[in-house]
Amino acid sequence: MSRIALLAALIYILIIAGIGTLNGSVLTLALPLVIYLLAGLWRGPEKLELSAERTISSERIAPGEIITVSLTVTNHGETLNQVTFHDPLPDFLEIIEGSNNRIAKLPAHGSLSWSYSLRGRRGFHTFSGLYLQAEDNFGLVIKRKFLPTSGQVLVLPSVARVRRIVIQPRQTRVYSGVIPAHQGGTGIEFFGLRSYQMGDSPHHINWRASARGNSLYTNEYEQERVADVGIVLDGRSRINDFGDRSSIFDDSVLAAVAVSSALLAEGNRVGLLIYGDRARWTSPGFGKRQRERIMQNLALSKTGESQNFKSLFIPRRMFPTNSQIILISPLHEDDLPLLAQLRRSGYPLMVISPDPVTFEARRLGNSGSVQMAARIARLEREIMLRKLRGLGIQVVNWNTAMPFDQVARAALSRPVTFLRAMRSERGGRS
Amino acid sequence: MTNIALTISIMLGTGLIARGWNLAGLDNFALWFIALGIIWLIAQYNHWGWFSAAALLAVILAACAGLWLGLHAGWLIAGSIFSLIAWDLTDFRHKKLTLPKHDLRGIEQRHIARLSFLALAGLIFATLLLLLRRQFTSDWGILLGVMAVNSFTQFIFGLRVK
Repeated sequence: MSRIALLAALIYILIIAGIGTLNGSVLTLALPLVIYLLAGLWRGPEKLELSAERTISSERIAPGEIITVSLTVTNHGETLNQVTFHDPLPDFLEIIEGSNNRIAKLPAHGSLSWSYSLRGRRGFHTFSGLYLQAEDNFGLVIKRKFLPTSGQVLVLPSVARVRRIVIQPRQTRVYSGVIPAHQGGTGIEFFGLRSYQMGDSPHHINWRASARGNSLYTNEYEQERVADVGIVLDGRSRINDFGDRSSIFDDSVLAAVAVSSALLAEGNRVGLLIYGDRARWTSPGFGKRQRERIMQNLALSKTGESQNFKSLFIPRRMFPTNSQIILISPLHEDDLPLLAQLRRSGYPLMVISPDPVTFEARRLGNSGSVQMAARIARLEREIMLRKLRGLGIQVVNWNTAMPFDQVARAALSRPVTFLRAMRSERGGRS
Repeated sequence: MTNIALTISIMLGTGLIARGWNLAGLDNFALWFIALGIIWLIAQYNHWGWFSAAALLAVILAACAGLWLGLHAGWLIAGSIFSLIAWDLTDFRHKKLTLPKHDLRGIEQRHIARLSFLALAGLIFATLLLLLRRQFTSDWGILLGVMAVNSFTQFIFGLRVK
């Protein structure tokens, strides 16, 4: 029951009772209620004729960067005694200074301006408009309206700088880059010898080999080219989200930013597939523009649960044959068959897996039962990761307590064979 | 400030109604109104917003019945006025949660000042009725004086905050 209806009902009851009992005192009792009602109605809002304008200091910001939102509301109609404005904001934006709500008296043809400062985490928000509520002094007559405004803000994901990520795809593109192409030509690393041909630089003649034989030999170097890389970001909520609204997905996004930035900086052609509530595909491309597209898509990405992606989803037709695929996922045991199938099809596969066990154990505390459960879960995960390594998949198990750039420098900055040799050498020494 | 004003209004609203019934020797009814006041205070503490509407209805009906029975009109009307204020403040307290913090003090001050004037206007009407009935007493005069002083104090504070 609205307040005005309750008040009107009470006044009617008192008037009828007063007339019915022919008692003037009962009628007098109605007077304070009537005064209250009239005081409210006297200066209540009639027609709402307002417009709003919004300016935002920057529409594209890094996480933690502060923006200022300025609002101006103009009243084109009669005086409004009490107007409350509310500018709705999503969870990922946090108010630093000022308020997104405002209450004021707006004179006829007057205007009101205010501003507030925001900062946020990764995400995208369109400021569609302001909600306003005009009312009388006692809140009896309430009128609501939505004032549309324009404006949007994109908070880009956090960036971890990774200098180099070594990948070894089976096939490279024709453009020169930094990935060994398994073909002789111009380059830095020694590849082999061939007979001297007219036009070869004398600097490349291998004099030692030529002295042993009867003819001249020229050094060949391994060509370095760019490659096609497909990054797949797993946003299934059932493996990313935990209780208490915590999620490991932001760490996965951070890894995706770092990996894609490093690979694009080396001149590779990179595409990105994000899937959670729906699939979001960034078609492969080169350079800074592609990095911007990827960053924007990562800013928009959310975890979700779609019926289509109950299991791992990597559409092969989206990635050129023999291109390098990098899967960023906390992983689930059910994903193993699909990864094995992908590997059998000839795709060089790298898995960067933010460790969900350590992530959740850190959140749950240090009790004995938590430690025991974490130990069991960690063993299960280790078995799963070993199976993947056994399939020839390069796996990076990332404890998210450590910065990604450190992990990437240790595990991704040199070829797998080199790292394996280093490990076996260390094992031999010990 | 709203919470203090709300508590005082509830205590005055139910207390004055109880006083009206008590003066006629109907102590049992007076005790019921005191009990209603206590429950109302508990309801406010627990933020049961709906209870104020029910309590206002109960107080108005009790005042109406009292007037019909010929009890002291002044206390009953005054009790109704303060219950009306308590009902308003319950809604205002709920609304206050959504208001911007920096505007809050002024809004609160002005709202309470408006309510004080409303209460004073209601009490003046009740005084006229009492004068007509020749029921004007010294304690009624004190109540009226206190409300007048309070209203003007609120008015001056309201102007300063503006």
